[in-house]
Amino acid sequence: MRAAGRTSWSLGGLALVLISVFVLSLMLGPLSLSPTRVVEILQASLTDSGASLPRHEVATVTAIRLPRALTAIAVGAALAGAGAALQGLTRNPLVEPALIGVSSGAAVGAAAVIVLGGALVWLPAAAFACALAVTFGLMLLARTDSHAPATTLLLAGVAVNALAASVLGVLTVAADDLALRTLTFWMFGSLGRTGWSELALLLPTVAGCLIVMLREQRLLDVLALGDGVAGHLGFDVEASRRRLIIVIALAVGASVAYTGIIAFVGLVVPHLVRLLLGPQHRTLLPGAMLLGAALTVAADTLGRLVVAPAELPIGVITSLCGAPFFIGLLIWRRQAVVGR
Amino acid sequence: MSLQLQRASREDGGRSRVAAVSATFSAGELTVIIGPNGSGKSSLLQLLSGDLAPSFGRVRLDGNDLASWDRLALARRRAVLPQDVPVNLPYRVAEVVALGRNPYFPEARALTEDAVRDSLARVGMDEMAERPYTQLSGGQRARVQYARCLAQLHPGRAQPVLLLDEPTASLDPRWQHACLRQAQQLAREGWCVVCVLHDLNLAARYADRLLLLHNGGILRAGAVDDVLNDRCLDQVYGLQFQRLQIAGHCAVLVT
Repeated sequence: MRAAGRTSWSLGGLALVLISVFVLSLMLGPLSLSPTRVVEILQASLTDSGASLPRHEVATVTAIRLPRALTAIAVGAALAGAGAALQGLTRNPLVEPALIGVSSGAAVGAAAVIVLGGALVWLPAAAFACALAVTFGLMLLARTDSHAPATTLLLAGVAVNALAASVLGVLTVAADDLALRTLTFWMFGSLGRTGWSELALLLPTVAGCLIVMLREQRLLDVLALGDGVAGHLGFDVEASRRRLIIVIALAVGASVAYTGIIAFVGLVVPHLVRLLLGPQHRTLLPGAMLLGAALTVAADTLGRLVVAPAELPIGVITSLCGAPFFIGLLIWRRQAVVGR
Repeated sequence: MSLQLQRASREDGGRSRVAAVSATFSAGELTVIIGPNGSGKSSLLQLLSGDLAPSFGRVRLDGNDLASWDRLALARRRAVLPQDVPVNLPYRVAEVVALGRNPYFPEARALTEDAVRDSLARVGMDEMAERPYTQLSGGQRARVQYARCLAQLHPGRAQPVLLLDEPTASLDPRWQHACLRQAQQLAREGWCVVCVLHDLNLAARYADRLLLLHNGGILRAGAVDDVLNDRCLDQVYGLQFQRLQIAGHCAVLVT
């Protein structure tokens, strides 16, 4: 089939882009490395045979750049996948975890743990719990208003974001200096704080969530026709909806807990992939995950380079690109991108 | 076997939407439900589709309560055409129709494509298979959804059940007749077809059996000639009707 062939080529292309960006991010920085050296170091660290390589180069890659790039991949895939799933679930191509308040909800949970002095192991749990509460609340709200869930969800997002901002404000006042610095980092998002121990939790969590999303791809397609039709076609809509809400909240909560709020990845990436591959979730979900990971790695690498030795927070970069994109969508939404 | 309502009622917030209705919808028959706004037509159809559970009484398919049916088995047996199905994402027409094949997952791609092509051809939309659904007119969307229902039940299993909620509402006269002729043809092939209509003349022309609803109950059920009599219609709609015979077809006219 023509379409199927094109699809697998495009997904392969996206995977290739991700791999290239990944290797680039390991090469670039204050200490520049050649691609062959990066590959050598990666091979050596896998086989524990790095003795012949310069120690500082090995350390730069394995202790700093590699965990950072893996975090970017996990968070980018999680946010873009969650964005695509959320858009399918709400039948609304304008929603995104940060825009409707799921991310800021998670940030409130994480910030509360930091400021109120809970053990840091509770951080992801608190972020997940708050993200879940916000997502469930929004779904209930969207359901009371089945005719215009688009506007309802976005307006509710405005309210949730405002509420979260004020709670974060209260927490800022209550925070000591150290906590304050950590809090500032939530607002903009940064990938520099995750090491291997955090990754040990982040990677499997995100992987699990993405697998569940991929398994619900047929339901997400059918939901485009409405809950009623999905039920007529033999789907247990309520059970799938609950599963999806939980994995979306979990993916976003885990991302926010470790990297802060990174907005608009969940909006821009699914749209780009839809333009490229069409709206079917069979290709949209994996495409969004690959492109989300690639763009997040690229944005983070850019943030490290443009104002070196300082760093531009990744959240600033994604918002700088994403916000104009969103405004463009609002203007052009009657045309092909969104349809209707 | 058939679809059966046994003294089925549906109440919401103390208001009775369907009141103790008993009716049998047989395979091989096109049953048309008529009645004024708020008489319970859509609620009755939702009881038949299982979207609404009866507050009292039972809804049975092949003698088994609808609620006890396996989801997938039911999805392979009956399809439902709702009034309007808006889609916000730019799915192509063929992709929308292919969604109707979900109950048969996993299915060979060629079988799905055959079913999609065949169903689209039946509603005259095969030329538009590659168009985005979002760019279609209301009537074209209705035809695509009709094709999606046909794809869901095709190739016809034993006595499929097709429930249509005002399928002709947004169609031009040509496709109104094409749609109902199709429904009639499917009934001839052994399908159980139940269709809600407002247009009494379309109902008169194509129905094997009519159900006239009034205030949530069946005022009259039976052959077209029995149900479409001036007295019943006057009572239900509060208008003066006159029945005519034109070119061998029964027609009603408001006088």
